[in-house]
Amino acid sequence: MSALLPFASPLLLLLIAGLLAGLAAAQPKFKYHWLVAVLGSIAAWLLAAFALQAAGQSKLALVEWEPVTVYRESPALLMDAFSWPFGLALATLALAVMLTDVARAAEANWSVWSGSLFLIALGMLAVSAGNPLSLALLWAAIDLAEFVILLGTIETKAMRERLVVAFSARVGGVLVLLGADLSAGAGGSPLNLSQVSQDYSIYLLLAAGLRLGVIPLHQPFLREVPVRRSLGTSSRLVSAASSLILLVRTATAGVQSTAAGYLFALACLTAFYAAISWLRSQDELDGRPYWLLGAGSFALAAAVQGQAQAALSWSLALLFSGGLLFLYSGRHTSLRLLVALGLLGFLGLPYTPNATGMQMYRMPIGLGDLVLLLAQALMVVGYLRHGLRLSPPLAGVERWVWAIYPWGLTLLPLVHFGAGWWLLGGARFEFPWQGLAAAALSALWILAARRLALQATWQAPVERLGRDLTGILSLEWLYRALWRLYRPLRNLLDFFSNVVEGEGGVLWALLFLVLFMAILSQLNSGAAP
Amino acid sequence: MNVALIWMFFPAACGAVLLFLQRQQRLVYIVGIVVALSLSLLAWQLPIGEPISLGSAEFVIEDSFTILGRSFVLQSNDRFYLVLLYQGLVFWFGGAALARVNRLFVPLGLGMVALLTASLSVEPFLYAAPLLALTALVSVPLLSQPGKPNRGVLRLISFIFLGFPFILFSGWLLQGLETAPQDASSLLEINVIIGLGFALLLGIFPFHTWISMLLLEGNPFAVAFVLYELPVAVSILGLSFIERYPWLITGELSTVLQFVGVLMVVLGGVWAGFQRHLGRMIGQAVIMETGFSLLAISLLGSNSQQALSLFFTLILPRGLSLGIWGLALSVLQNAMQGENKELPPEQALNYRHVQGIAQRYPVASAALLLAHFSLAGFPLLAGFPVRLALLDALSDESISIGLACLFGLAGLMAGGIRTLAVFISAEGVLAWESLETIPQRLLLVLGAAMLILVGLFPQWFTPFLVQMMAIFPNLSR
Repeated sequence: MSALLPFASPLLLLLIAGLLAGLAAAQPKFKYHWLVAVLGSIAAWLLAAFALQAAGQSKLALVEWEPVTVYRESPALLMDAFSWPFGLALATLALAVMLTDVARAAEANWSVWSGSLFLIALGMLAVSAGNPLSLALLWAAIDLAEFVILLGTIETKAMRERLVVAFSARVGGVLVLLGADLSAGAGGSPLNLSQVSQDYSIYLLLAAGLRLGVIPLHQPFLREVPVRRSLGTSSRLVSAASSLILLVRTATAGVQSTAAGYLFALACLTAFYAAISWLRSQDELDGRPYWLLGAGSFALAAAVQGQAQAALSWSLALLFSGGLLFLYSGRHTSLRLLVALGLLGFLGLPYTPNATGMQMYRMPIGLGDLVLLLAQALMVVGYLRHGLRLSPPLAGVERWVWAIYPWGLTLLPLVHFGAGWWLLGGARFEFPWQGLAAAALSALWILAARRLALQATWQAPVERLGRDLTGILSLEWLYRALWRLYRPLRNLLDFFSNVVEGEGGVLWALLFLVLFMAILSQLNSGAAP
Repeated sequence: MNVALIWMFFPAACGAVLLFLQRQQRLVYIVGIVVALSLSLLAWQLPIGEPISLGSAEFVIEDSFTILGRSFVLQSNDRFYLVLLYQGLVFWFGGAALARVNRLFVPLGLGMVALLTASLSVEPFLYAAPLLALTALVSVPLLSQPGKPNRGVLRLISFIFLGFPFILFSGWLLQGLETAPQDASSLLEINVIIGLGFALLLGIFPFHTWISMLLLEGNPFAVAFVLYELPVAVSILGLSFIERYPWLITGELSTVLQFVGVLMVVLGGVWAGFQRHLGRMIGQAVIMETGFSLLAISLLGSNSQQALSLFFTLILPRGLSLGIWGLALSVLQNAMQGENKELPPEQALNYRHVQGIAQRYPVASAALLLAHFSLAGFPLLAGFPVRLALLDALSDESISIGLACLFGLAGLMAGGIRTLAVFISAEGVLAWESLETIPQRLLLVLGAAMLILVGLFPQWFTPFLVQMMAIFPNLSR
């Protein structure tokens, strides 16, 4: 029972999600779904907050796949200093979603809460995955759940195609992870997520990068899917968190120097593209995919250099600061302080949670670092731009909504600062200049943009430049070219099928057999001493 | 009382009687299911060759039966296989009632399984080959529509009847070798002859074309049934060879099996990635399954227990996935033909005709995709644990084999993702309605749940499957 305690939080959330669905089916007149969801989320948050302290590092076998002569691995969970902050972030997100949903009464109902809690519970389990098998299972569960939820809300054929593309990229990530697991097993040392070997870190980074859309750069949702704000936020952040944990774990090993350069360059490119797109987005929901891409690229850049704490710091900034902005649906001037706190959580100034994230920058500073610095500055400007908007206003709501909604938002920076302070350890007394530089660059950008905005002649060329740059960096042109290659290849295979299935098919089979045996005999004679 | 009477003659006789009750289809299905269920329960509970007390009476089920100088021997070791065979039949008969298959499905299905049991038990074991050829012949009416020539069936029969003389001939040569000293050249000849025989019987590259052709023209459920039963029985015959002549499994043979296995997995996967016909897609999955079986057998040289465990563990996810896939496809094919009477059956399952079908047939579409992804080794589903275990074992031999198989699986997954895209490709909000009948929905949902259950908790099923390796006492030692 005590072994189960560190993992009780996601299990409780799963129970609450099931209970909400059960109540809706059994008692249609039941009106207290929200209360059940909030109480469950509070309990889950408390369990998550004290999980690590309660048991220290612990591992739990979920089920034993038998016989062991057939199955080498069984699903297991792991609670340690990496999985705990992610788990806490997701538990906080669950509570924040529930509390802020009071301001979105029109679009919130039991199914949204149940769906959000279910996804977040799966995410919490995924960040606690104890081995690649468990991670693959939980990734698959998250992908399927997210697919089904989004499918019900998408209205256009094009968006559905995008959904399938996103799903296939995620499946690609699962396959790369399994490939890494196979390679490690063949090498005689099964992949251990709590102690990743440098020999396989490149594959793991690829797996996580593929799922995040960073390697190779691909963004299936160039426009955000129109899904309810809280459910959309939950699904996006859960999916990101479940991939980021792998980045952080891999960062403990780092990457061999030859591959590191390429991966770092890719991360810089993606960060820059994402930052421009985030800044140019219509609003924070429209730009959400770019936020995930941008902050995910920073985490990848840190992981490539073996900076596990920096990767963790960026991952948490993505979840907490992003979560705050995406749940900030009802705007008011008095709540701008919260946006400022969210920004501080991301900026990387000294004594703030993301100060550790600044370890991502190399010394002496290179071209890649400058690109990252610029990207960070643009992300900050974008955050300010989307956060300081005052529409839609939070007006005409009952007083109790005013009492609860701000608390839901406050919770995210509060926990971020608390967890960040605890996680910073010795680094909290360091003075990272890069955060200040990013802030200064952001300020410069804002000043320049204001000047340009006054001169109408500059607006059109700058807009065009931004559009062209994102067009090139998005690599859409490359994927279109690859798709054009697919068709002739398919026609070739169709032709071959028609030939072997036609009237002369048996003769063709015999011909292939002769060829096949000739090749085999050549191979054998070549192998003979 | 003897084993042949219970598990061979009785089901065959039931099948023969049911042939005359074609007008009462419901009765035929009920009787078929009850017979299959009873025989599986008997296989599970009845001890073979030991005294059984029934009140004051005591009797023994003899483990052998001799006819025309040939014996049919079934021992306690074979019981688990019999349970799987007849339990599987219950599942297939249950689905057949909903898949609108040929009226002869139950009678001929019983006859086929009786013949498969005979092929497992016949001594000398070489006679299993003509029995398997006979099984393929019996399956012909299931695979084709009356009065319509089916090129796939013709090719299947051609290859099977070309293949079984090779098996008999190689058996004759092997018996000669038991009394004469062995030399390398005669061993190579025998290996080539056996290899040719099994290549023809199993539909191994380049003799695999009939598999896709069958699915283009026949009822998908009936074809899936045949494609599940026949390859398993032929593979077991292959294992019987190795059980009897263990020196056959040399390093060279393992290499050839691995080469052919990988070739089938990779080719099947690549073809699936480019496929545009839902029926043919199953064909590619079946080709890959044969490849996986060969790869499991190739491990006999290094760890025979693990190899046999993997070989038998592959059977349950395969049967379950093929059954659900076949049933879902039949539902969709019937729906397409119902909506457009002029649509030829071979075109009904083309991508262009099933666009957006998930809106109208969500349960069948979802079940089809789950079965597809299960055979592609998608995590959470029945096929995943055993594929991962097999790939792990193969990677120990050579990582390139493991990664090549993973590539093949990726191809099959790509095929599944394309099917998914086609199924949901419709304009506007998906207006969900479920046009499947209630029994179809129930069975498909139950099947999908089973796929997930086996995928998450393989430890509940695998120990039973692993026990089947007792059929081969020498190899499993």
